[in-house]
Amino acid sequence: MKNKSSYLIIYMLLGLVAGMLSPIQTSINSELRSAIQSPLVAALVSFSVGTLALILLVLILEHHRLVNTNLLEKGKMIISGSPWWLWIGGMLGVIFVTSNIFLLPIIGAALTVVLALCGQMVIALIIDHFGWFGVPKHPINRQRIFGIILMIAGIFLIQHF
Amino acid sequence: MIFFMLIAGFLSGMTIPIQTSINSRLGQQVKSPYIASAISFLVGTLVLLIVSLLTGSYGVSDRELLTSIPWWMLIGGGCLGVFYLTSNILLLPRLGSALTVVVTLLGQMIMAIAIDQFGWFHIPIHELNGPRMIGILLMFVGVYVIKKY
Repeated sequence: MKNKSSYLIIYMLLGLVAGMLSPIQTSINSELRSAIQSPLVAALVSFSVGTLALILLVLILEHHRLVNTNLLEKGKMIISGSPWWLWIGGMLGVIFVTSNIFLLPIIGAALTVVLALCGQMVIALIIDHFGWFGVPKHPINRQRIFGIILMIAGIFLIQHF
Repeated sequence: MIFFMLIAGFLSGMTIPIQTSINSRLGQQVKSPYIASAISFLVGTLVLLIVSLLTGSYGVSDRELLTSIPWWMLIGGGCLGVFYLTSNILLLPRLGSALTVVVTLLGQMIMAIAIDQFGWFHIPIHELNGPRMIGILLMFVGVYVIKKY
């Protein structure tokens, strides 16, 4: 029992550290942008490095999956049996990373984080409400709208002071 | 002008849950969260490559400029992005979605305030004050209420 709760604290710390890395990532990308003078190329460098890191990670952690199966056959099957939007997740990541690189030096780190978060919560509520992308339906209620109003009030305060 | 910046920040945040929903469906299809993330990053890289070429912003004409960029600037952003994404994937089933969002958000706010406070990474210094703290508190209560109901 004691063991389990100490694991939970480790996981929570990992989450905290991962969260802390996110604004650092945006800051480093912004510095890169001013060094190479293009937000697009800065994002491109960031994504290329990320892609290489993930390919390495896949080779280390999932190599059994890659050797044991007929990759070409399986790939064909997955591609033909899937909706087209399954492949555009990365494009949305591009929009997020590039606009953050652009915004952070202008409106500051706190406001950039807060605005993105507010956008996240609003669309998450909409996705839940309609059950898009196969997510279980969770209708909007009064408490959830109240939560959004609190968040917007918070953004207002952070932006004005 | 600032109004458009605020809208842009808000809209860019809206892409995140859509991307997460799409990527987790992709993860079910390819039966590995890591392969799904790799595909997602690869597609993103290709899109950026095409857009950079089309808009002619491959820009780095000066070779000296390129070699003067410190290494951490080149690999830092991408590696941290992968770390963030992968820990989220690992934490979600262990902490649950509400707790995962709250701890990573807490980390983000602490670091964002520190960056603004000390002006790290050449960001203009913007010190923490009473109203800003209340604003951040309101955000937390808002997230908590939305996650709870």
